Amino acid sequence: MIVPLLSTRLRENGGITHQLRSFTQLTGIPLRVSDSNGREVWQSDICQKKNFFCTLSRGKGGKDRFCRRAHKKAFRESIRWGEATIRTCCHSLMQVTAPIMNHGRLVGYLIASPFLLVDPSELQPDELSSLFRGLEKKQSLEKAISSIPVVKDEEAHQSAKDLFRLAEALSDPDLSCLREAREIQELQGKIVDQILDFKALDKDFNPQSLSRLFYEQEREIIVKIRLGDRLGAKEILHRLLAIVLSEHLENFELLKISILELLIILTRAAVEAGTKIEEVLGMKYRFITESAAIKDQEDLCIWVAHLLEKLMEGIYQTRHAKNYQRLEKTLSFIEAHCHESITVERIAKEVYLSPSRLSHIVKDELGMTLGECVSKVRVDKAKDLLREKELPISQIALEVGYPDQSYFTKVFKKVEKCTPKTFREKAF
Amino acid sequence: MVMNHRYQEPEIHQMLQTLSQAVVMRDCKTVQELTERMVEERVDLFVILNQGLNPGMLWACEQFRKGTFHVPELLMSSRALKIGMNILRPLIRDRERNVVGRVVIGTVKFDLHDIGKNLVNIVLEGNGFEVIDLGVDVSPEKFVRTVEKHEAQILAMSSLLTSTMGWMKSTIELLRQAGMKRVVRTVIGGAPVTSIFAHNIGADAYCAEATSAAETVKKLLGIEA
Repeated sequence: MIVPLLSTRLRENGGITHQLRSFTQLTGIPLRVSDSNGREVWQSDICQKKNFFCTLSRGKGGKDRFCRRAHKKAFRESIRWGEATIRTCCHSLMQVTAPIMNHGRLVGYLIASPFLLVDPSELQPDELSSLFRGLEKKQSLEKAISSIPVVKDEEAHQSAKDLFRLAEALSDPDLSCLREAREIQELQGKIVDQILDFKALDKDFNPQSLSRLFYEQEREIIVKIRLGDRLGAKEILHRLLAIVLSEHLENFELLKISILELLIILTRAAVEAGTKIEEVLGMKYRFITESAAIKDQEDLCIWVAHLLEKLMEGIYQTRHAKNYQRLEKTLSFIEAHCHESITVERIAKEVYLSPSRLSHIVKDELGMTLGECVSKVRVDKAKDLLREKELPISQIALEVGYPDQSYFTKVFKKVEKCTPKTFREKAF
Repeated sequence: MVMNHRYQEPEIHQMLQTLSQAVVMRDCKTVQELTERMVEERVDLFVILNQGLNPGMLWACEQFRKGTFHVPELLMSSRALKIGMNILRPLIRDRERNVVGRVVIGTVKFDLHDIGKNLVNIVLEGNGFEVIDLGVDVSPEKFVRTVEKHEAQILAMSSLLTSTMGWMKSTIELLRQAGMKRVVRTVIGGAPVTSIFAHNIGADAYCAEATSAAETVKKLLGIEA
């Protein structure tokens, strides 16, 4: 069932085979597409050449089981890390592998190999011996080796990325199913970085120093959450997870309890920062019900990381909503009082904020200073009045809070790029 | 530092720095030439390893952590390191002919990292240990079987991933079940591994860095370092 699926896809989609060919043309690396059982369903032209290393090394009688085993290991790693893997094959040559998935199920893989990162003439005796291990006909193989493409190490990484994109194009719908794997591994990498930092800072790494550190970081993350500092909070979460893992990695139940404690700290801080309590309770409830199904620490860690993201998003939205209310109040106050003298202090008092906080909110949400905002409201009102022909401009200036007509004209021109007179003429 | 060579200390220092840099830059030719030259000039083998090759590799690993190096660059740095080590290894082996102990070493199951472990190997060999290296992705059964077969006194395990550290616990558990836990001393190491973890899983020692491996193992065996 699966084989025709992949080969049909290749046969029917000329665009993709063109892309596969281009890969080899650009990188020089032979490319093969295999189904999940290791049967090749497509290969680049180089693979059919007489002196192609892999054909020669396989010989007669299915000696390619070593290759298949190496390929299998490689694509498994690729699924585990959520990206194309670069590693050595059974003959110590380089290979890049990427899985082809169909709705989360492996249907085949792409394998770009063999290639070398150094010139064949520079291979060391031990490298040559592992290259020739178990092989006969060394003479013809030596020739084949000299035709193996050499790729610069900086370029090999790019080739791996390109291969992953090709695998994505061959997958159905795409390789987004591997995104979570990648996310999990990235998080674990960050946690290990933190553990390394702890070890570098504190040679006498012990449970007491860890508890102290946890306490410090706990306070720190509460501050970051309250401030709505997403990146800062995330970094401290990595540190907290590193502490928890260092303490309880070998005991999953204890680890779970520690993570639950962490969850309580995070949610409490989020409530203080303005997230709705019902939402937070919902998250806690979900943790308790979902955590029973979580069987390893990697999933547990990513669960908390996602939770923090949700909490921060909640805080952001609540703040946003709160700011919005305050802005509305600010604008209607300016509108109602625009014929009077308006100071920042006066508006701030009206919306229960400090003058500097108000200025910040206006700048953040509207992208203009409070002064510019007042001018804008006044000019908008003036525009409405200018449309009523009867009123002289001096009168309008006065009604929108500018006793000095020439100053009003200046402000109007700055906002509307034309004088009030021209505006009126255009309006009619 | 052994000083019966014609270079002055600052020159040696400079050479060591160039050697480190060559490992980072994946310049295998320079690594080979410089290592050979320093060996010829009788610079202490461990000085070449610990102050030249090893810091270069650590720097390359750091670049990998930061994301400026990717797998191919790391592989090439580790190849450069290996070229240097291939020169040093036979000489280091020769230096200490009295076998002080036998160590079985490997990276745990599902973990394919071996740079740190390879460094530990050479450090142990240079200090008179016979090392049986099982490579990477080693199952608990294979560890225990090999320890039993070779009657090793030490079992050394490495893990570079939080997700594979659990296999250290399983291996120690299996060792205990086989009745060998008291006879065989276990030592663990790796980036995410800590002394707390070692204590929690019942490992006899935690090795913080490759360079202190011999000291750690000797201490375990009651040999004066």
